[in-house]
Amino acid sequence: MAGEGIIRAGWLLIALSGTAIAQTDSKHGEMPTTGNQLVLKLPANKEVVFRGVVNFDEGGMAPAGMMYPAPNPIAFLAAIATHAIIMDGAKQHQSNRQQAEADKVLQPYQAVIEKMDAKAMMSDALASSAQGKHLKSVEATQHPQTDSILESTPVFWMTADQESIIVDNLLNIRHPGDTGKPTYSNVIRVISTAHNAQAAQAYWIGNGQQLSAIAVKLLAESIDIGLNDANTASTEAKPFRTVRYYEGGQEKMERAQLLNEHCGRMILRTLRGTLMSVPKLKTASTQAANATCQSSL
Amino acid sequence: MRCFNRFFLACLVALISGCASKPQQPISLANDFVGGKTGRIGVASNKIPQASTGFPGAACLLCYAAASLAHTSLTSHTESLPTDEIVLLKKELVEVLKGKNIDVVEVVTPVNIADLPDSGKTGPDLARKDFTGLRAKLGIDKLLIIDVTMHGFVRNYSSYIPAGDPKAVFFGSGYIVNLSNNTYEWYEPIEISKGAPGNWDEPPKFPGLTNAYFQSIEIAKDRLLKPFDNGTSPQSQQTQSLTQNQSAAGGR
Repeated sequence: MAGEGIIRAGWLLIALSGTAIAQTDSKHGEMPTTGNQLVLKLPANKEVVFRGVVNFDEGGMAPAGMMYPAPNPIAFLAAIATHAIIMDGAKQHQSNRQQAEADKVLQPYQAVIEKMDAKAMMSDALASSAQGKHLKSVEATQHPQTDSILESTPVFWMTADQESIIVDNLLNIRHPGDTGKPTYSNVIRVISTAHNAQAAQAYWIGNGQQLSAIAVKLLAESIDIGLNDANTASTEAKPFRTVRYYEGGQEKMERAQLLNEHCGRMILRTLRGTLMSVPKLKTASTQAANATCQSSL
Repeated sequence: MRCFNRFFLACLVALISGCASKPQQPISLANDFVGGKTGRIGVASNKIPQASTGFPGAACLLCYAAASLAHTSLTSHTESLPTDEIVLLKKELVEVLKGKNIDVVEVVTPVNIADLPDSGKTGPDLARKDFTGLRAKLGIDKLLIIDVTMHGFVRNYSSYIPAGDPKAVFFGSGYIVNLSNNTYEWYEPIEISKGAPGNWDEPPKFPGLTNAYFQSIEIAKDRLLKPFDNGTSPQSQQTQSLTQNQSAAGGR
């Protein structure tokens, strides 16, 4: 039960982080150079958080009228308050049910996910990250006084078609003396390219153990993108466009700035200021352009 | 008393028959439309309305006032959203049809469909408004109309209480009217609804909902372009043109 509580808390943190960052003025591309060594704080818990991707278009209830008993103004207000409580409960129930339905996609992988170790995954990701491989890591209980701290809180998602996994990684960088708001904070989403294998379960948890391997790659990519963003001065304002990409086998869209495209993938900055690394749509021209270059994600 | 009963019955029949009038069902584009003899086609749109908010279910006056008051910031942001991308859809359709060697002309002035006379005829696939007068006026044989009725955000209510989070919506239709007999040759009703992941209440720019809004427009564009397109439209080549420096159409 405690583990479930931690998982819920982590998920909630990520789910709300986009908003939180937007509201607390994220400082991407503005990390001041302090000369302090940057160290990665390893996660305190072993659990790796995996969830099923929810379709947010299906939420909510149909419009309906309501007759309130109103013998006097106080009874009328009490009726509205009661109605509000009932509606809130119903909405929460619907939201939980949607998430529970979406999580069913993970049932075949539950045993593998439970064996995953968040600390080992983070260390592996750091080792395979181009920007992070030189960083040291410290235990969550340690509080170095002279080093800058990189905190990484990943939540993984699996698409309903089991074609892709996604990481939403909340990265915070805190310099010594930072209290409260971190110097850099952003959510980086990385979506793996659809595997297009005949049997999804065999692909993810068969001999190849792709579920762990790709989760580590996504985490490493998110750390790279985040560190790059934190260390790069903001460039000229690029136009926002509706960009199409793949999430699993489905075509998705995001209103975003295109920051970079390489090897069939794009890096986007969303309207919320968060970053995404996504697979490009396959067209004749993109396939020709990427013939000699394939992303490992 | 008898007279009153007849009057009551007449009112009831009128009311029930009004409710029973069927909405136009979708009509697929004929296979030989592209490459067949279609005559000259005009591509028009109605006057694209400003993006707006709606609160269905907030039925009483006080309920609606309370819902409107609770969303003044969202409404104000919604009204600042540009309609450029919807307006450009007409030009995209013209380009797609030109690419199919169809004789096509863009009708620059918006068509005010409500102002057209009623056709007075009922029947399968017959337009309720009389478009035939536009044949001589515009010098075309068929009219392709993009009819946008609402775009923006909708939040369902149960009287005073929200029944869910706001969603981006795009309501309208696309259709082709044969101006010689006022019948629909293609009819595509559009009802798009997109939710925003996470917390939607992010004033003043509402990035989550704004993203959903642009998604709804893009989906509507797909629905309207797809029947005429086999991979040659600007939509299907969108990822190829990402690097082109095009102006940002709002949203931030």
